[in-house]
Amino acid sequence: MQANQNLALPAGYQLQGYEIRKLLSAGGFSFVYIARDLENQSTVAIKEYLPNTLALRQEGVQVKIPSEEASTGFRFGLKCFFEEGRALANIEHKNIVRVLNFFRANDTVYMVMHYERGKSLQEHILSQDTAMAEIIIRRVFGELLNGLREVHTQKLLHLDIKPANIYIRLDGSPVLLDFGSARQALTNTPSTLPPSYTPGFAAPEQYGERKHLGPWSDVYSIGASMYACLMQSAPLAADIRLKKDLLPPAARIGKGVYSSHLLRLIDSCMALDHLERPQSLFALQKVLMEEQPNPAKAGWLHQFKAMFK
Amino acid sequence: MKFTIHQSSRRGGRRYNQDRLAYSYSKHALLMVVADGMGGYSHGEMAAQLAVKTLTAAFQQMAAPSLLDPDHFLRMQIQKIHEAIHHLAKQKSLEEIPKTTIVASIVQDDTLYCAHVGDSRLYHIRQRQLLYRTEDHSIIQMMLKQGLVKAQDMSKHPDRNKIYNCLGGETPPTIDISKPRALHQGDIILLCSDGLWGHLSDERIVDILNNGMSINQNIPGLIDTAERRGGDSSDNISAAGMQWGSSLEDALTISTLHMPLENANTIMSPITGQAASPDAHALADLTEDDIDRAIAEIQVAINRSKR
Repeated sequence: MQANQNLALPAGYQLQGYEIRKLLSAGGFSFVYIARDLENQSTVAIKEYLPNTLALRQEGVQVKIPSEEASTGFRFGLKCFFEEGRALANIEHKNIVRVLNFFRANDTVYMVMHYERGKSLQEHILSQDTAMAEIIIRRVFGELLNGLREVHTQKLLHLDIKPANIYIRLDGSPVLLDFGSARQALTNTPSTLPPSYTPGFAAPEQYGERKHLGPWSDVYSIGASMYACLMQSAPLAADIRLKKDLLPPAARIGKGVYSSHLLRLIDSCMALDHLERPQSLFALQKVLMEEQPNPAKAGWLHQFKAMFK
Repeated sequence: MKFTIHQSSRRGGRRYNQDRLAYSYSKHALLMVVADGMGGYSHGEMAAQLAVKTLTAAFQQMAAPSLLDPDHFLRMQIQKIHEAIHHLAKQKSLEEIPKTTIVASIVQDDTLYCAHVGDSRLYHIRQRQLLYRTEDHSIIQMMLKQGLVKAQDMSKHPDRNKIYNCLGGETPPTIDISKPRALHQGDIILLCSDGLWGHLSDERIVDILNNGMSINQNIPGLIDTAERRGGDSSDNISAAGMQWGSSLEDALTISTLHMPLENANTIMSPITGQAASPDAHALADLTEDDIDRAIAEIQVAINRSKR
């Protein structure tokens, strides 16, 4: 989590047709609030563009841009915020967060999103004493890939997939959030927007020149997120792995608990050479959804149950 | 490591803001620093900027995930800043050597380490009680110790702003290292320049910081109050406040639990002289019309996919 040196909007503040309830999170480029839609009394999440490296609101609600330099930085980030809005507005999918509105106020811009009740995958990982069960990992990621495939179909890459951005609804279905890094990188025009990534989950090609970005970059992040489910912590950052790869393979750390089939898949997703990874989400999803034999060492209860089948 | 932090700086009635502040944190250590470039001297902000940059850069390099010896780190790095200021003055052939105060603290293993030179201060507050405050290296503080002035007359004394110890001076600085202090959940650490404490008594500072709101609200509150009291002639006012632990559950609380071992983040203010790359300038040519058009496009897309 990053700090934000700006002041958040106060609870009770009325923002167009919405009333701010509370601050939900503070990220590198924005605040996210829980708010009430006054028109239909529903709960929404509102993302407010406010980059944390620029001190733009130290009091009140209005965003003030103090200098020419800050203005450059502000507008620069604004472009990225619009990219995110555009990306999401074009997608309507069960596993992708839904954008409901987009508007200007207080000299900045706001994105209203459907509010999902549940917990992030990160919270799930941390709230458990033991690593996540294989069947859950397969189901969550298998379903999430339905949404991500839709993103890739729109010629977009997410580029910031990580457990904190994967939300698990109360019914167990996953939703992919935060498209702040999404780029139209599947087109031929190279993106010159600034890189943004999370160490541990970003693919090696996201560092440096970023020439080799592709669907395989999101595949790496999916692999790293699955890896985090079994390790219960973020994997070693890819730029460090490039210098000296000290990442213990999933096949080693998950041995006996998970099927070697899943562990091999995770390791292949996290290959440093992007050509060695599953080349499309479809290929990855197919392997994930395959019916699997029981884990190598089934517990006694499992064996007991099997006797009565 | 969990904490809530806020820093802010205001120019006050002066033409320039010569105060600089920053914090930097790694998985297991937190650095906070305030430097007050010397008003009477030219290029005061250069010295303050150099101080903050040197310290945070060294921290980023050496503190991920933690420092071996925080006191030693502070002493060595602050000494380096003094030398770097002299070097810079020579390099740019400045007539006068720029000067700055510094107060820096490190929190690691629930322990607070602090070093200072000059009259920028650190306050350690626990449950509405001021447990500790650094002692200014000022003429007036020395006079108080010698019994030449009474405590109640200090705030009006003509020499109240004169300091005898700083970075960049002719004589090497005396780096004052405080004794390491245990930090408890909920403790508040405040670092500030004299623009803040000059207009607020210690009691008032403790009161404002304990009014039940979070540090994110109270630091701007403190600065507001100091600015009002200072009026048009107010000095630069800077303050950085940190509440340790997560007693106040706040979305702005920083947790370093999931930070990679090899990382450190630094936040500096005010943002100055950070020249954007030419690339960024070219990209940032977003006019008001462009913004409105982008929003309209997104609106259309939302409505289209709603059907």
